[in-house]
Amino acid sequence: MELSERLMVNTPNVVHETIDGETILLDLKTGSYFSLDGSGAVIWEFIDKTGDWQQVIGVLSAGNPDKSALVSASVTGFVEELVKEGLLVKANHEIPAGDERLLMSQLAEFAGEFKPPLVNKYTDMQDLLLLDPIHEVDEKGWPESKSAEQEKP
Amino acid sequence: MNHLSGNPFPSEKHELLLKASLLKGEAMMSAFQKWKVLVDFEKDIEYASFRTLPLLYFNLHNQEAHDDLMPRLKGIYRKSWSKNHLLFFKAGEVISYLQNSGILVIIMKGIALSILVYQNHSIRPMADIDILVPFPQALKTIGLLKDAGWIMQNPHYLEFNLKYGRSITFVDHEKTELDVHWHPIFEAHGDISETDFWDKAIPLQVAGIQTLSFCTTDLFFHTIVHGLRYNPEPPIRWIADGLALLKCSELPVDWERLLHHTQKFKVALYMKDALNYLVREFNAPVPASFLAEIEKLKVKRIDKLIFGHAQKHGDKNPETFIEKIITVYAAYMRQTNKNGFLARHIGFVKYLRFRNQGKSFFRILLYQLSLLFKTRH
Repeated sequence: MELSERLMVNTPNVVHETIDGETILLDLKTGSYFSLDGSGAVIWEFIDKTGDWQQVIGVLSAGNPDKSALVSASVTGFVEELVKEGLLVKANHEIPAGDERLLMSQLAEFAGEFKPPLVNKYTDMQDLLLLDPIHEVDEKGWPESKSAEQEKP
Repeated sequence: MNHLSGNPFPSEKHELLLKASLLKGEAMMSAFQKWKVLVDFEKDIEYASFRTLPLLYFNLHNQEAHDDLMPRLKGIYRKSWSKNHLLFFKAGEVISYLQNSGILVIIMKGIALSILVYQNHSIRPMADIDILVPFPQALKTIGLLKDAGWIMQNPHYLEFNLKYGRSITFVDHEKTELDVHWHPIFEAHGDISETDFWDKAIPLQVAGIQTLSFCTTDLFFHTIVHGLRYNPEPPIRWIADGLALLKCSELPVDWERLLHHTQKFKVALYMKDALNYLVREFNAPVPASFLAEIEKLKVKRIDKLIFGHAQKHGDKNPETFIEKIITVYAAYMRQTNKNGFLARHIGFVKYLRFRNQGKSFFRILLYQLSLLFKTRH
């Protein structure tokens, strides 16, 4: 994927909302549910509003000159995964410029102690919807089930 | 005020939960803390409370409240968001299919409220899709849905419901429920003209599909008339929905239209009780002049009976013979537009015969008495 390629959210198949620093996404065609937090949520918002993921690498690398290779590789991997999952697609129209200064300052906050962004994917929506969100979940709440937590090493 | 379980007016626990979900600042925190003392979160969350929890989370989060319940409340919010989006997506497919076949569609209740008023896909959980189609297109709609694989529930009710009811339910292979309405309300629906509710319908997009919604005035009217009925699951969310509609500054309520509907469909008692409650407990923005107008509306004895029945029994299955008789009588009186004692009661006899597949009134009475005799012995 070329850095110069602009991307956009694959609407209307993909819906998303950011709350309390976490972006939740749902692919309505497949029923797959995704969660992005930390820098992942901010990168998502940046791309959603500007389509420009090249700038993401630029801002995060500028705040992290020692780790620019790691930043570049992990952001590229993250974006590629979002594209592979069909959450982002190539932008077929110009995305109106949002408030880039605000978005860039949000992004810069994550540059200092950069942690590679991750895509958390949950595939079996039928099972997830059967999960009791009061009694059968761990301390993070739905969709993290108690049993999944117990299975972790 | 009666606080029976299922009563449309909330119990103390429900009222605290609603206040924690709807008020701001100290009033919100105080209600939330009191609610937590009264309710065991592990054991006491019944359906009506559960459906309010996404709104509770949203309100607490927006006011930066911290509590050990927040992660689980956030999980409930996420789950509601996912379920609703999947439901809206399916609703979009149904609407698109019907509209492409020439059916006009208004999307009702939860979906319309979420998009138009709450502008949030989580805080108003719902279990089904509700649509309204013009009465003359009801049969065509039913045929189209059957062709698309939707299965009609209780098909033997269809003929009766087309004459005396307002809707029929379908489910698909994933057990998603779709309620097809040809009248938005039961109340005096013989008086509904072809333009009522449709004349001020506004555009709405559901999952990318352009359709129609009631205007906020009609949504409010529908919320109150539909909500103020006894239901085994306490129907308390009319309070949250009603308040959201009254506070919707982009699409303010047209009080003149609301008064007109209230009068025309004989629901002054519903409106009076609901608005007085919302003003008293939640400081709802209702003009005093409107409350005065509602007070002035004349209410017939039969409308008091219907309202009393709605509050006490509503949609509960009658348990005794007498309750059954009253329920059937109230159901007929609720939907008829006939005026005058004689006209109403001749209509009631016809209704009974239709309901009992043409059997004479005497046979129906004998049958009911035999049931009574069997249950006693």
